[in-house]
Amino acid sequence: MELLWIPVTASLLAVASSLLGSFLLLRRMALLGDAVSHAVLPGIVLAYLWSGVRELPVMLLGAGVSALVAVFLLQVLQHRFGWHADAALAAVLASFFAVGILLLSAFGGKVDLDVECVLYGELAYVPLDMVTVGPLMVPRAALWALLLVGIAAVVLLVAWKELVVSTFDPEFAEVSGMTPKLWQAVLLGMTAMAAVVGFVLVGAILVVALLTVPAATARLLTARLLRMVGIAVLVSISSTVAGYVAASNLGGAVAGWMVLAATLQFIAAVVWSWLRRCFRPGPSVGVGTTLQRESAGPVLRATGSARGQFRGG
Amino acid sequence: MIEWELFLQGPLFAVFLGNALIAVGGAVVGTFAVLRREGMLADVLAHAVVPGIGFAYLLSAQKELPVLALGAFLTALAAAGAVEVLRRMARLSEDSRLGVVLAASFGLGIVLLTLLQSRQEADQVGLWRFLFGQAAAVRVEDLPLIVAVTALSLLFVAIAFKELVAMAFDAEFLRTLPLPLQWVEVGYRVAVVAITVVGVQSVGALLIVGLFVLPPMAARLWVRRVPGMLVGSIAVALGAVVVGLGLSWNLPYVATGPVIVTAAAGMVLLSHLFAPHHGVLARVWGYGMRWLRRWDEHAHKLLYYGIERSGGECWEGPILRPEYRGGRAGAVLVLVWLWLRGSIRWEGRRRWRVTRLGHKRACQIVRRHRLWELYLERFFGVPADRVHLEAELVEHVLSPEIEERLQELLQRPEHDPHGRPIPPRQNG
Repeated sequence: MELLWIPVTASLLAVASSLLGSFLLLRRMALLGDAVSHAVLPGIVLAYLWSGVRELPVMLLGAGVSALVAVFLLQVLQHRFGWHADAALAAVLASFFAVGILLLSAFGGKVDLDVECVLYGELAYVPLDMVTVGPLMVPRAALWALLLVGIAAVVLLVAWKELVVSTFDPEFAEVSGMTPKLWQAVLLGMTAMAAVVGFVLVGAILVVALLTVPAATARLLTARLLRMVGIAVLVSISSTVAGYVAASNLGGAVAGWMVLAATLQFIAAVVWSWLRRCFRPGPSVGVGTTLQRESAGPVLRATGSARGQFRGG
Repeated sequence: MIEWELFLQGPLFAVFLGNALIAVGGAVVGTFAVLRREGMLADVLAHAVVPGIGFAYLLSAQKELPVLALGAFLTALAAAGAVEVLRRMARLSEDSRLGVVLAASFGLGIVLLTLLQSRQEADQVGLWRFLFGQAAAVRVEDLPLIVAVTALSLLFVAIAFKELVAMAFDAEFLRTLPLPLQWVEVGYRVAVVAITVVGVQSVGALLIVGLFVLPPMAARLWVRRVPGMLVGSIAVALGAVVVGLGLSWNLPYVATGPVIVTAAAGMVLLSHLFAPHHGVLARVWGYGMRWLRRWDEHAHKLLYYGIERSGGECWEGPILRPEYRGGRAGAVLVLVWLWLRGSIRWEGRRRWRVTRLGHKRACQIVRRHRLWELYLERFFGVPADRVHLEAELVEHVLSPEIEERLQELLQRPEHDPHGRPIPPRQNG
């Protein structure tokens, strides 16, 4: 019975990540999530060394500071020093991760974090750390994941219009007084939080899988934003459950199996969308395809009705 | 202290040579990766090495480096192929393609390695070391593979240098030429993957992208051309290896690979601080010198007003006072500055004399100011009460040639719009 908390906790994390990941993907910031999830490592280790306790709030604080520094550095490198985005991302990611591993190896004796935790998290140990909430024994990590989902859901509900408009048309959002930079910062902050909770549960590197793969799968299957977010959530839940089942039957890391399950769904989505485009009559096959491929970005129909649907439904 | 000959023959030299070769190969190939804006693609390929190592061990049950390297090589190439297939088949942006392939291949790798670990095998053969590398454990037996891969990669870059540079900067143009470009492209990809594969045992699959991206980005600040960038990034990479190995040999419990990458990152930081032209210090120095020059010219303008007021080149007392709003301390500062510059001489108590040099400098800046005022009034019709602030800006940037042209254009004027004399140019 307690083992059931593993897929439940993972699903909560995956739902939060896919909510955020959908917007990151549409803003072409998927790799930024990758960089942030690597960059939290030195902050986590330093916070742990400084405080000496392994509590999530402390780690969250350290990771938040570290992620902020990384994002600031990315902006400075790109806009002040003229680096291209890929070089800036790769450089920041590698340096921060190197510093984190360096600290881990240098103070390994004092830190209760190990290298395997960095790689694939401690999802299997979730039921070992329970707290009592009313009549129920709940894992501490599940509470944090639930909080993450709650924050993500509230932000999406409150600022759906602002997020949508600033994703698809930042200039229009700017002149309409929707402060797109603020919402971008909020999105990045929530990504950093997801990276921290994900770091503990599935490891630093597989966070990017939860952020990217369900959102990309959903993007291939639909051209409507609300449906895309819904499909991403479904894909992430199904892949955590399938990953848990596979891991408990075959052995191996739960986090890795979850990513594999998500990848299989992604491959199916690629094949499905490709076949649908091949067999659809009309100008999308043949001459038109090259034109469409150039505009392969977000061609979603994101109108005011999305908000109405969201509120009404 | 290490004995030099013992060092050259011993295992430490193998460690140094192996890491240095990997770093040099990474720097050379990485230069082109950076120029082609494919830094993150290199990271994806590095992550795709992990499942290959798992597969190779699973199928062959051998832990020899060449066998594992072959498996890693194949999966990394497969990942490169997957990115390409997604580019054709799926309508996704580049970053999501890369993110998905990275996540998928790393997830697969984690599953394989944890499965092997649960059979108590991975720890024995040390498969984990390929993730974070064991730079301090490069053995003499591993050297032939590293030497071969690095040498072949460098040879390829040397042969196809022109094409690689052209592809990085103007692929469209290159496609119009009858050249065997697909082979250059394939060779470049194979070189990236091969260096990655042998590099994972130095700094590990998760950090090798640091060896690709950081040295070229440090070198870029010091040079302007691609060959220089190659040489510079090789130098930075070697420096990072020396610093990294030196630190980790002296500090116990510090993993060598991360130290090497951190050292490379430190060199990027130092380059951004100290590089000529683009470095932070060079920019600050430039701003400072420009500010100082303006300040110096303003001081000489004040000197000219002093000359104008007293009607000679010698005056007594704090004559800068009425013109200068900086207070007494500021006036003293200006006087001391002018004295240091050799523009004025102190002749006993409260008596100053303007030197010939100081007079020339003061006339020059005031001449430029008043010429520009006159020019604005005559040719742009700017009212005389509004030309002063404009001229305050331009007086600092007028070159002697333009000043001469202005003199001719305005027919060697005597007075500015306010009726004050324009000091003539003095010869000698």
